[in-house]
Amino acid sequence: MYTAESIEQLVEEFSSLPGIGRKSAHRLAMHILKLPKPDVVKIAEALVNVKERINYCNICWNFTEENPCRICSNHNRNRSLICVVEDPNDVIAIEKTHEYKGLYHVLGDALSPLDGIGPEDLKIKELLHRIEGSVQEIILAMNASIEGEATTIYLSRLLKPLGMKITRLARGIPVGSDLEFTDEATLARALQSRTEV
Amino acid sequence: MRLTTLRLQNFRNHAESFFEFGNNANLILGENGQGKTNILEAISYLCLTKSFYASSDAVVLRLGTEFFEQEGTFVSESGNENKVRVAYDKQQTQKAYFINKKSVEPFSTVIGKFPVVICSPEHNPITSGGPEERRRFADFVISQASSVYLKSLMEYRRVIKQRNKILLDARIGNMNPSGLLESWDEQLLQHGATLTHRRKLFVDGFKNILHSSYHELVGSEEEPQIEYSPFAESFSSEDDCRRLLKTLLVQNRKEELRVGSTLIGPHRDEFVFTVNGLDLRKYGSQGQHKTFLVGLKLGEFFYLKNLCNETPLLLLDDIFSELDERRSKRLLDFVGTISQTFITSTSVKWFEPFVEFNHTNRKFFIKNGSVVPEEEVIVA
Ligand SMILES: Nc1ncnc2c1ncn2[C@@H]1O[C@H](COP(=O)(O)OP(=O)(O)O)[C@@H](O)[C@H]1O
Ligand SMILES: [Mg+2]
Ligand SMILES: [Zn+2]
Repeated sequence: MYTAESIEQLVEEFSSLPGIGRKSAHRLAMHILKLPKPDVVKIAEALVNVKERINYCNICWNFTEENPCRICSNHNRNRSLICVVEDPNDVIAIEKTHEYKGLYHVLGDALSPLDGIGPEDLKIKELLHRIEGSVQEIILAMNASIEGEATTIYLSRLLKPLGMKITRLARGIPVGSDLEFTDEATLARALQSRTEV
Repeated sequence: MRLTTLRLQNFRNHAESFFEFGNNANLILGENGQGKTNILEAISYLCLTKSFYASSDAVVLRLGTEFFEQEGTFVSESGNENKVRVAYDKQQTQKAYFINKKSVEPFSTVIGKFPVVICSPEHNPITSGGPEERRRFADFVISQASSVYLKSLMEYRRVIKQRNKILLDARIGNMNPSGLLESWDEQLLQHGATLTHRRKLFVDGFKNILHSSYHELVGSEEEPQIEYSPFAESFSSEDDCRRLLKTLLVQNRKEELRVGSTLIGPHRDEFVFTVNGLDLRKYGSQGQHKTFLVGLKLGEFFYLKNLCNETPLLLLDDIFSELDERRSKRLLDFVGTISQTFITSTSVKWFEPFVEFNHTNRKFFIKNGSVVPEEEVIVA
């Protein structure tokens, strides 16, 4: 217990955040106490701002400040192409490549019965709803985990009958990495999915 | 590979112990309960990131202390030195593993780097216990030699858990999970076939190794055998195995829904051990069980020696009290010469006639968690 109730409360709030134990919560609270007031106000405002301004895009379910999001409302993007990902970080990763000009669809997670996540917990209905129309190709870009893989299989079985092209990311050796430093499992998988030249 | 030094701090009943080991046999002597097995357990932490039997890191922390640490120097056959350190802090939930001061993660990547074979009474269930004990033995041996197998095994286990959850939910909620189930079947088939195929290859090769290791101990009057019995009688390739698995999976769907768990696959495999054609579990004597276990462990040693680039360390815990004199002698005759060996015993009498103590064969006397001069320990 801290003698000042407001410090105790701040520590309590911090330690309710994911990955933060009481020790780190205490450290953070002490840090806040030492900061000049304008800096603390900046942090507090940023916290409130994200909550007030950030929403899910009603089309692709990515985070956005405008609805629909900038990607969905950008008419220079290829609207016949949708890349399906697990979460908003994946969109950021793909956008950084500057190579992808299509649209996205963020599922929110991957199938995981153990965590109680089934198809109804993902934005799958919303995906099916979107693709009635001019979509020609759907790229399934899930994580390389068994949950990501199960989600890929689930979606491909669902989408195949609808007639558009369904593709998935290739698995292989990371660019710029030496064969000798690639872990054995990745190397083995790349060998399995080798291609003819 | 050799372990040249070992330092323990706050580990089990060792407050602070330091060892400089010999290149061949290292005898760890002392009365019961003095901390001999604990030293082997510490070596297990360095080689495998964990104890070979304790259920958690918290239990090996010396009572009343806040952190433990083990540090060892491995010297490879080519002369490379690796300093390995394991550190655990009561406050932190995770321990840390370092090779040459660099933190290593995930821990599974350490498996196979510093190969070790451990034979202790803790392993008795391999020959006497249920099928899961023998699966664990086989998985452990193959994983040390193949990280691809280990990865496949970890993913397979998770797939089974996920799939069982679907089956169980479906049973409780009385609904049809098809569509969902199929999303996991693909990976079940892929990993299931990989594991089954590799286990078969492993047993095919291991049979001969077991044979010769066993004969090192008992001569040729006893014939040991190991039979792998997976879900299918026989299959010619991994693809073939996958096809068979798929057929069975489809056939058993109804039953799986009734029971609420996955019924077909390598998680249900059995390995049958026999001596002179008789099932060891049903007909084996205690001596045969022990001999079989040592035979398996020596087999593991030679299997790993062939497949890894380093000769494994050999840790023998209380083996010599349970084998008869002739078998003990035969074992001693060659263990110290095939690798660096760590042997615990309450009695030095087995060893004095056969082992010449010098800088490569060393004795350590343990009392109450410390290394002490010989005079302080009464060993028969
Ligand atoms: N966490 C612990 N802290 C302190 N002592 C421990 C701890 N765990 C086990 N011990 C002690 O270690 C001793 C057993 O050591 P062990 O190496 O198994 O003996 P042995 O010499 O018979 O092989 C016992 O005296 C036990 O009380
Ligand atoms: Mg012991
Ligand atoms: Zn959008």
